[in-house]
Amino acid sequence: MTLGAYLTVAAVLFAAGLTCMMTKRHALGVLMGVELVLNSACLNLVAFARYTALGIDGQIFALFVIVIAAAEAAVALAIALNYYNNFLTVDVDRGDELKR
Amino acid sequence: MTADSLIIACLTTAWLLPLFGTVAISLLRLRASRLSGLPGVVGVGCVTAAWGLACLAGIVWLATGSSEVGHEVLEQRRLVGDWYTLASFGALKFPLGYAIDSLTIVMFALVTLISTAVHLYSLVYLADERTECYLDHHLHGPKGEPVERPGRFGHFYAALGLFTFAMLGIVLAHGLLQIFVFWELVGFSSYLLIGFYQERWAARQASFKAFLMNRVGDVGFVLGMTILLATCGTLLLFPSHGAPALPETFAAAVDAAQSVPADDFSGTHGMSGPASYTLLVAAGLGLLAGCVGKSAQFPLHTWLVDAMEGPTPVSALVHSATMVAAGVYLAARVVPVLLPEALLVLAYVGITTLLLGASMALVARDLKQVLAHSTISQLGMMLLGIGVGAWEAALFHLVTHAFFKSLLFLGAGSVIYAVHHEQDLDRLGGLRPRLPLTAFTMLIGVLALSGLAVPYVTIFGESLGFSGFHSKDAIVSGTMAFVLKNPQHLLLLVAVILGACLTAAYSLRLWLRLFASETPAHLSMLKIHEGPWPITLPLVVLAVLAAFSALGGEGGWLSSLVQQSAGLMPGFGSGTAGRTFVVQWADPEARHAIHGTAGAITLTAAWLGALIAWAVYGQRIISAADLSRQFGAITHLATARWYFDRLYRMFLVQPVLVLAGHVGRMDKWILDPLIDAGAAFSVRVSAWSRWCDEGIIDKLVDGFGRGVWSSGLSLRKAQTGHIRQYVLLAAAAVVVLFLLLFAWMPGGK
Repeated sequence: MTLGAYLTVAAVLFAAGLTCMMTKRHALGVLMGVELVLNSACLNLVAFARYTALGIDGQIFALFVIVIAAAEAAVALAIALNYYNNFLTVDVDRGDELKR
Repeated sequence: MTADSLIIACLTTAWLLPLFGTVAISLLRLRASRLSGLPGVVGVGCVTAAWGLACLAGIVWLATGSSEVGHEVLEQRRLVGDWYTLASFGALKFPLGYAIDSLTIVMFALVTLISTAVHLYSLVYLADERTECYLDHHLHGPKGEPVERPGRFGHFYAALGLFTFAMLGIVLAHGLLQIFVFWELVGFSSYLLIGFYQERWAARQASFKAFLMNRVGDVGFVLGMTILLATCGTLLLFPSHGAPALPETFAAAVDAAQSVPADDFSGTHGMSGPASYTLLVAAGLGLLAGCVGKSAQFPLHTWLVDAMEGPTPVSALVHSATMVAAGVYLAARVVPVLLPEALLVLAYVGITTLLLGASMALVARDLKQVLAHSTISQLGMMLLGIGVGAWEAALFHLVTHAFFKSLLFLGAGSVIYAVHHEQDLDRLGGLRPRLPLTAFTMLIGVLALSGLAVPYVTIFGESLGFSGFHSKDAIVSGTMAFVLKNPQHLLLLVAVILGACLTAAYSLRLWLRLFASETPAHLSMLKIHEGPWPITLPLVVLAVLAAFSALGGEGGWLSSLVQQSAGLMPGFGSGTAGRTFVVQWADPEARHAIHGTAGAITLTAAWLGALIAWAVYGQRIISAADLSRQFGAITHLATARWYFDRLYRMFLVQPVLVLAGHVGRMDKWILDPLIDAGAAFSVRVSAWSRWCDEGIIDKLVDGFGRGVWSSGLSLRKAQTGHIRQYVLLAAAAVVVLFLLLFAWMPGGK
C-alpha cells in the first residue's frame, strides 16, 4: 500500500462528496456530501502522517477536523430544521430569499 | 393759589389745549367717519377754552398789577421760570420754560381769539370737506370732470390746532432755542395748511416755496443763535433764578468789544478774548434774517402771496394775523441784542417792503392777493417801527393789524363763499346790496387798515378813527422823531408817508371794486346771500375789535398794556460809553411832542390816497386804464411783482434745477449703466458657473453614481441564490486554480 493509493481513495471520496453537494437538492444530502469532503481531507491528513515526516501532527489535525465536523453537523442540522419550519421543504433550491 | 401761579397755570393750559385737540382729532380720525363734524366741534371747543383761559389770565394780571396806566415807563412785571432742563453742559444750560409779561398776555388773548374765530368760521367754510368724495372743481380729469378725493375736514382741524399750539409756544417761550423749536413747528404747520389742497399743483408749489424760503431765513436765525451762544454764553431772553440772560451778557460783550477795532473780522482773540463789534452786529442781523423770512419781508417776501393757495380761513389766521406776525414779535423780543446798525438795516428792509407790498397791492387782480400784499406791507411798517425805536408802536400796530387783517380775510372768505369761489376782482362787483353785513364789516376793516379818521373832531375825548389810525400814527410819529434826530435818514419818513397814502388807496380800491361797482353779468344770475352765523359772527366780533380795540390811542388800555413790557427799549447802547453809534435814539417825550404834526401829515396822505381811489373806482372821474398808462413803468413792474419771482427763478431756482438735471442725467447715463453693467457681468459669471456645476461636476458625480449602480446591477446577476451552483462554481474555481498552478509552476521534483 502506498501513499498514492490513499490519496487516490481520498480524491475519489472528495469527488464523490463534491458531486453529492452539487447534485443533491435535499438539504441532508448536501450535508452528507460535506461529510464526505471532510472525511477525504481527514484521510489525506492521516495518510500524510503515516508516509511522510509530518508525524503525529497529521493525526492530531485529523482529530480537530472530526471535532469540527461534529460541531458543523449539529449547526447544519439545526439550520435544516429551521429551513423546514420556514419553507415546509428541505429543497435548497427553493431557498433564494436573500437574492430578492 | 397766588395770582402769579394762577396766571401761569392758565396760560400753560391754554397753550396745551390746542395740542390736545389735535391729538384727539387725530385719534378720532381712526374711528369716526369723514362725514362727522366732531373734529370741528373738538377743535372749536379746545381753542375757545384756550381763549377763555387767556382772558382769565389777562383779567387776573390786570386786577393784581400795581401798574398805573400812563406814559411813564412802568415797573417791569414778569413771571419767568423753568419747567425742565433739556440739557446742561457745565455752566451752559438749555432749559424749557416760560416768560410771561403783559406782551405775552396780549399775544395769547389775540392768537386764541383769532384762532377761535377762524375755527368757528371754518365749520361752515370747509363743511363741504365732510364727505367721502370731495369734488375739486379747480382740477380736471382727462375728460374735464372734477377730480374726486376723500374730504379732509379732520385733517384741517388737526393742522389748525397744531398751528395754534406752536404759535402760543413761541409767545410763551423764554429762550431763543425754545422759540426756535416752535418757530419751526409753526413753519411746518403752515406748510401743511398752505398745501391743504395738495392735489393742486399751485398749492403744492406754494407750500414748498413757503417752507424753503423760511429755511433761508432760519439759516440766519441759527447762525445768529450760534454767535450769541459763543459770545454771550446763554440763549435766555429773560433772567430766571439768577441765571444771566442775553440783555446783560450782551451788553457786557458790547462793552468788551469796544476795545477791539471795528474792522476786525476775526471774531474772538483766542478763546477768551472779547468778540468783535462786527460779530455782534452779525448776530443781530442773523436773528433778523429769521424774522424777515417768517414775516415775508424783502427780499424773502415772495412766498406769502403764493401762500394764498391755502383755504381762506388759513390765510386769515396764519398768513395775516399770527404766524407772519411772529417775525415781528421775535424782532421785538430780541431788541436788546440788536445793535443800532442792525436796527437801521431792519428799518430800511421795513420801508422797502412797505412800498413794494403797497405797490403790488394796488395792481393785484386777485382778491386775496391784494390782502396778502397789504399784509407784507403792513408788516414792513411794524419792522420799521422797531428799527426806529418805536417798539411799543410796532407791537401796538401788530395787535390792531391782526384784528383788521383777519377781519378783512374772513370778509374776503365770506365773499368767496357767497360767489362760489370766484376771487378775480374783474369778475366781482356790486355785492353791497346782497352781502350787506360783509360789506359793512369789511368797510370797517378797510378804514382801519387805511388809517382814515375824521380830523379835528372828538367825541368824549376820542378822535373819530379806528384802531389802525392810532397804531399807524404811533409808528409815523416814532419815525418822525427818529428822522428829526438823524436827518440823514429822511427817506424813512418820506417812505412811510407815501406808504400811508398807497395803503389808503389800495384798501379803498379793494372795497369799492368788490361792493360798489356795477354787478358783472355772470354774478346777477347767481343767488348770493350771507353765510350762516359761524361766518358772520366772527366778522362782527372782529369788526368791533378792529374799530374800538385802540380806544384812547397811545394812552389807551391796549397800548399801555403793551408798553408795560417795554423795558427792553433800544438805546441801551447809551450805557456803553466811549462809542458813538451811527444813529441817535429819540426819547418818548420827543415822540409825543411831534405826535400831532405826524398825525396830521399821515392823515392828509391817507385822505389823499382815499380820494384818488374814490375818484378812480367810486366816481370814475379818472379812468383806471388812463392812470395805469400814465404810470406805465411802475404799473408794469408792480404787476410783475417787481420781477422778484422771476429773478429768483432765473438766478436761484433755475441753476439748481439745471444742476439737478445734470446730476440726474449723470446718474442715469453714467452711474446707472455702470451698475447695470456690473449686475449684467455678475449674471453672466453666475450663468457660466451654473453651467460648470451642471455640465461638469454634476455630470461627474451622476456618472460615477450611475456606474456604481449599473455595475451593482450586473454583479447582482451572479448572485443566483442557488447553493449548489455556488458549490459548483467554487469547485470549478478550485480546478481552474490548480490547473493554473500546475501550468506555471516551475518544474516539479
